[in-house]
Amino acid sequence: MRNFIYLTLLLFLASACATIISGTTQEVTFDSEPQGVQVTVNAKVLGKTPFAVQLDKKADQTVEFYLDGYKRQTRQLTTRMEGWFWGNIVIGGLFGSTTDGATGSIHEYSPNQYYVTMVAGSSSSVMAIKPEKAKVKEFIVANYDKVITDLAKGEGEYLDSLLAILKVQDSNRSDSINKIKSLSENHTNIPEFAEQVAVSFSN
Amino acid sequence: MDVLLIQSAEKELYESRTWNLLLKYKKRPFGGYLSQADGMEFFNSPAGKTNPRLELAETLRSFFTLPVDIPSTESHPQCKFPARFKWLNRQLSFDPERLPFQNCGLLKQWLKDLDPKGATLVFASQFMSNPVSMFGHTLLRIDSGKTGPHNELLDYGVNYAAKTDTKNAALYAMKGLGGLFKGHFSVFPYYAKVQEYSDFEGRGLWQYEINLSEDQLEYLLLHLWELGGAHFDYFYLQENCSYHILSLLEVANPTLHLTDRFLFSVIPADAIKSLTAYEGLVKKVSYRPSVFNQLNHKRGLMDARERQIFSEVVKNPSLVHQAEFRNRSVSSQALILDSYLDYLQYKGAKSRNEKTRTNSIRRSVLSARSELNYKIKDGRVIEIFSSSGWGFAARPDLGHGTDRVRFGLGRNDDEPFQEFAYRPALHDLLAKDAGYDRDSEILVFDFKFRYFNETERFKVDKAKLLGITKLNPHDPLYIQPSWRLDLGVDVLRDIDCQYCNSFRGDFGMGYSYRPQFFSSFLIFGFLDVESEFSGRLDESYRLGAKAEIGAFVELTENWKIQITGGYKNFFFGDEKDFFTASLNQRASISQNIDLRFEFHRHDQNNEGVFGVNFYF
Repeated sequence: MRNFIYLTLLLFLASACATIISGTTQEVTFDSEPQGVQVTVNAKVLGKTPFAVQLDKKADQTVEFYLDGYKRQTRQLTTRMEGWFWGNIVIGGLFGSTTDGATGSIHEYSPNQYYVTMVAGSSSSVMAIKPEKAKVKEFIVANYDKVITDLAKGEGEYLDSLLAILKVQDSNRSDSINKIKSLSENHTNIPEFAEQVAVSFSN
Repeated sequence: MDVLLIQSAEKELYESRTWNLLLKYKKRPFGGYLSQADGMEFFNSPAGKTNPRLELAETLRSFFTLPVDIPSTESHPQCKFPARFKWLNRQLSFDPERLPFQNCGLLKQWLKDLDPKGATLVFASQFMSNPVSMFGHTLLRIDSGKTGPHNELLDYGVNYAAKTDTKNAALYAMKGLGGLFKGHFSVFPYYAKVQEYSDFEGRGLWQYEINLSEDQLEYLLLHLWELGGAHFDYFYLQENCSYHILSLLEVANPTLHLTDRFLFSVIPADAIKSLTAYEGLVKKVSYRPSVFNQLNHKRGLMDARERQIFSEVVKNPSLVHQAEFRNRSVSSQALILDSYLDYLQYKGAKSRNEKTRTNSIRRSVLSARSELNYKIKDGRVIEIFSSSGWGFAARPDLGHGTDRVRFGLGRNDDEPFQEFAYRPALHDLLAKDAGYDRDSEILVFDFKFRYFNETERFKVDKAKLLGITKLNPHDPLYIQPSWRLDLGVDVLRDIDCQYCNSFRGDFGMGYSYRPQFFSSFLIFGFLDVESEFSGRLDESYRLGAKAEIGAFVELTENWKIQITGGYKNFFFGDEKDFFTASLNQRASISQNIDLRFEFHRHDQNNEGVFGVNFYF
């Protein structure tokens, strides 16, 4: 009797707060802007970006991204919760929070492929300033699917935003779109495509 | 320094609303103040958490600190607490000769980069597969002059969230309810949150542009800068995302009382209503549909043939290169291809949760679309001013209140009764669904009492702890079952035991079907496992199954009917089997009042109730 009640309650709690992280290890790729970021897990150095590694998928591990002259980023391999009640339980990806403007950001641009944007400086603040190139690359990597879909349609909000962030004048709009489109066809690796676009449009 | 202290004492600045808002002081029930901020870095005085007067004095004193005395890794107090500085300066008119104004380089750069022109409150509506997310989430967006009015993706968002450190479900719930997680503010590009809420979680975003003057906006941002280092104990119910975002707005404009009305809990949808209650505070409302919403919108635009082709393309994408497809009109091809592209994004986002993850968009489909060289004005951000919404959603502030009080008059086979019920949250399937998910129900702490006139008894009719139902009506693209659960105190309704109570726990799965997306008709079928415990049962419990079928019909916008019929069979404990039936109607007479006409039958026992629901 009593056991049945406990079992029901437990099942309910477990299903309501189900987390999706499962399995033991996962091959994960890290890339970053700028490159050469040292990645450590629980203080053990895994490598310098860009590189691939087998990550243990247990929770409560601390992953750190370190580069001299930039703010250290710390991520937890765990769930994150926002909003109301059990409203948002983060799903997808190994890292709880993708963005935390103050210290930088991390985006999963492809299954288990992470792109880390580092932010210069060392003091704490709500949000630090990212250089233009980093902003451009982060936007492209984070919104890749939307950007290439808009490129195919020839229009769209993400395309407009990309052109704005690249500071493209209205007069150069269609030339720029064609340029970005051909870059996307020639560079299918997402961080590399982002790099090419950032470099082509830098003055 | 002393001059300033005297002045501030005279003006009793430490008691002013603005000072309390800046330092997050709340009056304690038995006197005194307590700040909700929990990191000591937020205070200048060691007693700052409980003593507004000392904190103000120490804050003033700290402004005089010489730059040489500040360690290189820290900022000057004037730069750490710029909102306090600005306000105190305004009240006391600092003399720059006696109190040098520091140059806050980092702060200036931050403000320059943001180039703030306005603020928008963003409400993320319910999550596709999680009915509890109906409660919603709120964040703030800072609209930047740099990016222009049509590039809001590049604006910055402000979020308040908890850092959780446990995966254990029970600990998670307990810590969240008990304020044992640390919450903090963060700022990030808005596109990152659009991606997270709209794409990954399939939630529509409602954007409420707030009317703030330049000065008010500056206060908000300076205060946000102050909060950057602070953390707060995160309480699911009280001090959650909505509460803190509303607090930011109160700091910007202290004449606003946005958080006062919340006695027990702050539900994000209610937070929006706090705003819209002030005439003119919300300038504009717009809606950003999720990828799934956009896909369904397009499916709604297709004719039957196109819908068929679309489902074929989903199964076999290479169809888009074949002659039969290419021969269709350009606009038709574009509609189907764009829908397929939406579908791929939606699927890609959904499969982030699963072990097998597909890579997103295929190049071949993109090039097929590209070759069309055709522009459709697809629904990007839609401006909604009326309650009719956009087919899938109505504004959350136009929905019924989250608390519900009910008065009823009824009669069973033996006698008449009156009933009274109260529920703090949230929404039942029969209620008007504007602002809520049409196919979800969440009931939290639903208490109902009845007084029976002839036997002169006052009884608990229901004390439901939690009831959740998710219908998930049939969708050929993504098939999911319906499910529901129910836990709480009830009455043994099929037994004549003077309305004796029982404790029930039920869980069921089933299937629902709606002929078309916007159809007013839905049928469902469930199979539930039912358990009931009561001292009045011979064996003290009964355990069995229920099979139930039913239908919902929306006769008009304000009138909805539900019919159900069921069969229960308890195999264990007190064995019994019997039929149940109910016919319920809801007539809405305003946003926050509806009338209910209910008839229920359990085995041989019948009852009818007429009830009035007041939502607030």
